[in-house]
Amino acid sequence: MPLDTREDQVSSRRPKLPQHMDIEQIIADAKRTASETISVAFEIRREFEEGHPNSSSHATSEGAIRAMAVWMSAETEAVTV
Amino acid sequence: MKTEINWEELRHKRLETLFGCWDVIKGANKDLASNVLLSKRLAAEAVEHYLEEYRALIGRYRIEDKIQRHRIAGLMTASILAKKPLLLIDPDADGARVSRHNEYFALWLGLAICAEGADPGLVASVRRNPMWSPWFSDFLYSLLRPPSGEALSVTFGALSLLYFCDNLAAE
Repeated sequence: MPLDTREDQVSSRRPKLPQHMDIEQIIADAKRTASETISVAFEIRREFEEGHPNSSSHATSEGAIRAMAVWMSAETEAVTV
Repeated sequence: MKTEINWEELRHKRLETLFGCWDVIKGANKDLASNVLLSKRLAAEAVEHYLEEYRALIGRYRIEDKIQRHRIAGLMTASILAKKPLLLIDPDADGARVSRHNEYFALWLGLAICAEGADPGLVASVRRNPMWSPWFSDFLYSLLRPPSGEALSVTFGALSLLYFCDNLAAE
């Protein structure tokens, strides 16, 4: 089978992305959430470990992004100790 | 009762999670930041792949509600492994590795989804477990021969059973 034909077959299996999707806006939103989350991740950890979590300080952060920041702060701490 | 799934909302949420988690992990890991970049096109394809797998899963098991987080974690991890959206900035750089950055990101993304909303102190204590590093390393190595999204869901489900029980409810 000629290579170009095989390539055509492979590319036809690639998912069609929705035309209306504004990926730049989604990335901008994600970056903003990540930026807010990174800055508060260590603060959240400290609040919990000191036994007085302030739910308002992290209520606006998106769940999985915040969880990633918490994992990364735990990872950084474990690697540097 | 069957829940009507808003696919557009799911697509948007998974894309935002993917890009946001990438920003976080890139900020924490200099190796990733200096060696790879996230392809927007391939990241979007990974999310489309995830949505296709989601549809197949709920059809296969006749799931009438949204799926649980450990299943999302499994399917998203598998989708990253399938589409490999992290591309080497310089293929000849010292830090360049064959097919490891995508696996590393895919695994952490799955773990982040599993631990969504969990007490950060608990997350830190999980990470401090002395057996964490060998487990993580074995898990990461196993991804070089990717298991299915469903198999990954079972592994993430076991972690959730132990530590993140609240997340075993549907999202």
